[in-house]
Amino acid sequence: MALDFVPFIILLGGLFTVAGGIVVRGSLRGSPAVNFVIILIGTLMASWIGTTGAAMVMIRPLLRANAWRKHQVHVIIFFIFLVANIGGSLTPLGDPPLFLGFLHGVSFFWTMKNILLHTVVIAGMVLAIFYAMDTYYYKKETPPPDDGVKEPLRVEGLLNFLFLGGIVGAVLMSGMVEWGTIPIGLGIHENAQNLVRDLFIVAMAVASWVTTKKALREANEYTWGPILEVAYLFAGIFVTIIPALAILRAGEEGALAFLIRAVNTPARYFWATGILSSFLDNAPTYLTFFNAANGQLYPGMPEAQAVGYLMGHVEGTNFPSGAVFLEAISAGAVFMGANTYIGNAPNFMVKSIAEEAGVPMPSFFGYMLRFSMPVLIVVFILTTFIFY
Amino acid sequence: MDRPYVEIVFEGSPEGVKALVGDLVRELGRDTEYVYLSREVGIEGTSRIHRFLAKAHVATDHVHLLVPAEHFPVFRAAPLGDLKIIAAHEVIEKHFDFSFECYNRDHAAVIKKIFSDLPEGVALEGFSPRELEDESAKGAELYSPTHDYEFTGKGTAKGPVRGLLALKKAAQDEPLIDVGEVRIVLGKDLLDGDA
Repeated sequence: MALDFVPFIILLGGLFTVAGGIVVRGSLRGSPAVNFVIILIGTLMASWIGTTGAAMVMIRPLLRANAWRKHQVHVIIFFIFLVANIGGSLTPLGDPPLFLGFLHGVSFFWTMKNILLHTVVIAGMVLAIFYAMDTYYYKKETPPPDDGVKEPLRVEGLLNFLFLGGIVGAVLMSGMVEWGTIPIGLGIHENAQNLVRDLFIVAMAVASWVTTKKALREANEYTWGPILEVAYLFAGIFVTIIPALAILRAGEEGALAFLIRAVNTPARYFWATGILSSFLDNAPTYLTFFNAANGQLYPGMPEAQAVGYLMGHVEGTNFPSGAVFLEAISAGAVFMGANTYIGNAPNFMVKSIAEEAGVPMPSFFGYMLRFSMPVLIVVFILTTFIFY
Repeated sequence: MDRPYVEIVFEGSPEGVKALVGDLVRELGRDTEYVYLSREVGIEGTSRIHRFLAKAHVATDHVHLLVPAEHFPVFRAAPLGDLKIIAAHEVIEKHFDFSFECYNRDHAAVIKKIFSDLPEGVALEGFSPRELEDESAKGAELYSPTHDYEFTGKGTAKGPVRGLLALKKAAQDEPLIDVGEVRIVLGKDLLDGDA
């Protein structure tokens, strides 16, 4: 449990601290083109600084750009869809479930190689719907006020990109080298490269904290609250999930045999992982179905070996490739976190920040009925037909 | 002053009713601007379903028009062409419900102004706004459903048609206020006794 939890919190905390030191300033007018570009940049950033980090960096410029508009709710909702969720699908840095996969042996670039097309198709469809919707509402707006103040667009806290590069490098390194194991107490051994990675991420976070001006963090309204909350929450989740995962690993021999039998195609994995990710946190949900797939496809096989087959066919063996299953689990966990406010941590953060800026955000069910069901569910149904 | 109004229901198109009002400009004078097409100003009138059926040519459209009571005879006497008056009643009460949830002090100031500087004759019923400040919640909003500042309230606005519509317009311009349709309570049937 500790071998999952500690690196998980260190990575989230590191990305949160570094991203919290990057501030985008400037006067932008929230036209459909400007909003499209802001959301696109956030979507592209999300896989590298995490969905929480990208949302934290980009939400305030987006809110400022659209403050004059009467119809701005949909802009924030699509920001949640794309920046806080869909954009984080390409690397283990992007979204917590993918990092858990990485900790369990999925290689760093596996998701980028296998989910890129899913991401391009889904993000493309959602962005196209957004642009059409924003253009429609933009035509209803009265002309923007000329407030006379034109602040040039600029990014501050640039040094944090260096620290970000350090975190990316550390995670990459830990997946590429084998330095043996080191005893870390209580009879537990951990890979040396993982310990170095975690120490380096902590060092990057400390360096960011020391070198970033306080004013920049104040501009992002940075507090430790969210990361502490995540730490408490996941401590509980990671402890309670242990027996569930053991049962799932037992495959059809275990107590959840009915689940293993019912969820037995990539499409079903996509929807089962996705629906649960919409209402529970997507990280433990990913881990649950990751183990369910291992138990179903490679019953009794040690995880380290099974993950190799789950990523793709291994030459010289008779075991089938489980890649399409892992694609479905990864896509379901990351993409469908956008279905509700509680599907992914930054969704709620964006909602709260937008509300405090005066945006009348919809209720929990309003979000689902007005936006996620008519837009995302339709896109995910199309995705199922295209990929599974 | 609560100027008496009459609601006239026409069978016909909204464009036809607008044209009729345009034809009566000389008789109505400056009051032309105080004649309201219900669907344009958010006064409860023909249901959406009925309007949909009318667009689909399954039903005949009904257009509700509010006119100052003293001008009702002008409409009755006017040549109606394809239009037909199918109902006319005194309006005895007008009101709309509103509510708001606000977590931003600038918007709260706007909302307070809207509901304190009321148009003449308009009154609020059941309105008891709640303002909460909780410094300990600052920062916690990023991961829990709380805010360090909250201003919430709901109520009902009642009053003369003109003032009520002015208040409704001001409230609708503030995105954090949910505004309901103006509901009217009808009184005496003014066509009673007509053949």
